[in-house]
Amino acid sequence: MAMEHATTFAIQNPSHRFGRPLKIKRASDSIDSVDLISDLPEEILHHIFSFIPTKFAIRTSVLSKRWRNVWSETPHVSFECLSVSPKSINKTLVNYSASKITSFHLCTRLASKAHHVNSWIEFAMSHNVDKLSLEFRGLTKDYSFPDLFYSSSSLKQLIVDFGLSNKMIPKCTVSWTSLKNLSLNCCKLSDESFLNILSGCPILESLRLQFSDSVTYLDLSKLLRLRRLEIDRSPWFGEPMEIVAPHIHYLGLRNSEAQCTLVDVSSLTEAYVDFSYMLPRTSYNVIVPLKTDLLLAMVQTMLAKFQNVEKLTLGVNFLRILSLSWIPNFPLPELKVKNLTLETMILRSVVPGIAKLLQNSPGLKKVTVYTVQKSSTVLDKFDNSYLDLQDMNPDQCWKLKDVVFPTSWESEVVKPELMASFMELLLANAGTLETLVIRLGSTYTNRSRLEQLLHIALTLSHHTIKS
Amino acid sequence: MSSNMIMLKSSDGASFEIEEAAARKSKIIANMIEVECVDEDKAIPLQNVTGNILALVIEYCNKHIVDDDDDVATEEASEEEEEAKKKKVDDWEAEFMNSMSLETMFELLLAANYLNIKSLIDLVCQTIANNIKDKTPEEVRKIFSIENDFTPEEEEEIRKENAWAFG
Repeated sequence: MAMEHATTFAIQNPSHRFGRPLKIKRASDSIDSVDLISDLPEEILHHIFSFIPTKFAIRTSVLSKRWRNVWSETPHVSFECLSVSPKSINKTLVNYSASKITSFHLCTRLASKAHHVNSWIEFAMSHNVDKLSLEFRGLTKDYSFPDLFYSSSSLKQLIVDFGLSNKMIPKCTVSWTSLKNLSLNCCKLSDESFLNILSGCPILESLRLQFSDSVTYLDLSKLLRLRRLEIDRSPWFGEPMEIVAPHIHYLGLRNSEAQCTLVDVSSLTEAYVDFSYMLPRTSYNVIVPLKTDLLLAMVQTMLAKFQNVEKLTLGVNFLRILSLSWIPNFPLPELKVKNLTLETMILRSVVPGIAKLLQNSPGLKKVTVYTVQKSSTVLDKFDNSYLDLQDMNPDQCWKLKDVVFPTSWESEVVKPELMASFMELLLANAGTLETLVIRLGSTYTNRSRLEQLLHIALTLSHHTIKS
Repeated sequence: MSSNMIMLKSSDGASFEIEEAAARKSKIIANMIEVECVDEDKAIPLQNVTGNILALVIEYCNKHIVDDDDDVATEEASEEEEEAKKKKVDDWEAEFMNSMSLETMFELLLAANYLNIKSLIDLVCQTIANNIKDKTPEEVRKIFSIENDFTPEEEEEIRKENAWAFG
C-alpha cells in the first residue's frame, strides 16, 4: 500500500562531487554548445515524450523543421482535457500518424462530452492500445462505455477511474484476451456484470477494486493466473462481501466496517489488511456493541485464513479491533508469519492486540513498526465506550506491567521513553525474533533525536538478548 | 573474487574493470557473457563508447548493482525499507544527472541505448523530459540550442493547427 511520504525529488543544485576519475564538463561550461537533441533517433525522442503529457510533445512541432512531425508518431499518448474543447483534441488527432499506441491516458469530464469520449476510446482501441487509462472527473450522468471498448486482443493494462460513482455494466460479451492488470475505481458493478467482465479476462494477473463496492460475491476461482488482489472498500457502503480467491498470492484489503468474508484464500503468502477510517457513526452513539462484536469476529476469522501467510502487514485499526479480543479472551489461531509489519500509532488501544499477535506467531523472524500519524479521538471514544458497556475499567485493561501507553496520539514525535517501553513489549512477547525495525514517521527531521532513539533501541535489544 | 570481474575497453582504448553483476545491467554485455564470448583475460571492446562516458556508465551500474538481485538477496525487505533505499538512490541519481553538462548527458544516453541499459535510458530521458515539460518552444530551443529554421509565417501556421497545446 502506498506510504504517505512518497516524495519525488526534483533535480537539485549541484553539490560537490569527489572521486570521479575523469573531468566532466559542468552545465555552466557549455556556452557555445551545439544542438545534440535534434540528432537523437526518433525512437529515443518518442521515449522522452512518454514522460510528459502529449501537449508538450505537440509543442515541439514548432522547434524546427526536424521536429515538425516527431510528436505525431509517438506511441505514448496522454491527454488532459479538462479545459480544452473536444473539437481541438479531435483536430489534433487527425494529424496523429502512428499505427500502434503503446499507452493512452485520458483525463476528462464526462458531462456533455460522452460521444467525444466514445470516439477517443475508439481511437485508442483502433490503434491496438496496450495500456489504457481513463480518468473521469465531475458528474457522469450514467455514462456507459461503447461495446467496442469491451473487446480488445491487444489490451494488457486497463485503469478506469470514474471519480464519482458510475455504472460499468457491459451489454455485450467481454473479450480482453491479453489483459493482465485491471484496476477499477468508483465503478458501480453488479455481481452478474462483473462475472461477465472477469470471464473475458482469462489471463488476468492483478485485480484492483477501489470503492467499487457493489460486488458482493467476488468469485475469482476461474482466474488461474490471478496473483494479486487489492480491494479498497468505501467506508459508507454497508453490504457484506464474500471473496473466493484460491489462486492469489497477495491480498491487500482496506475494509470498511461492513462484513468481509474470505471464503478461500488458500494460496496466500502475503497480506496487507486494515480498516479505512472507521465508524463515524459511533460519535452519535448508535449500536456500538453489536458492531464491535462483529468486527472482532471478522478480524479473528481473517487471521485464521492467514495461517500460512509469511509476510503480514496490519494497520492501526485492525490492531485496535484485535486488541479488544484481549477482554473476552478469544483464542487466536497460531500464525506462521515470519515477517510482520505494523503500521500503527503507539497507543494503549493497540498494545494488547500486538502482544497477543506476537505470542501467537512462534516462527516470527522480523518485526517492522512503522509509526503513522492519524487523528484518533473518535476511535478512542469507541474503544472506551465498548469497555464501559462491558463494565470494565479501561486503565486496567490497557496497562501492561507498569507502563501506561497514551490514549491519544498528541505529539508528532514519539517520546524516547515511550518508544523504549513499546520495544520492550515487542521483545518480551516475541521469542524467536531476529530483527526489529522501527520506522519513524516522515516528521523525523531532527537527526539528533532520531539517533537518541536508535541508541535506546540498540541498548534495549542487547539487554533483552542477553537476559 | 577476480573471477567475478570483467574488463571493458572503450573506443579510445581505456580499460575498466567492473564486477560482472554490475556489467550485467547492460543487456548487450549480459548476452555476451551468456554465450561465452568473454575471455577471462580479454577485455570486451565497446566501439561506440568513449572512456569518459564509459566511466559514468560504470559509476551508474555499480550504484545499481543490487536492484536486480532483489528477489534473492533482500527477500525480507519491507516496503518501508525499500522506500528508504529508493529515496537514497533517487538522491544519488538526481545529483548524478545534475553534475554533467548537456553534451555529456546526450553522449551518456546514446551509450546507454547502445549498451541497452533500460533504467539508465529512462533516467536520462526523464531528465530531458523535465526540461521540455511546462516550457514554451522558445525556452526549449534555448535549453537545447535548437535553431529555428521556420519562417515566422510557417511557425504561426503550425501553432494554429494545435492552438490549444500552446495556451
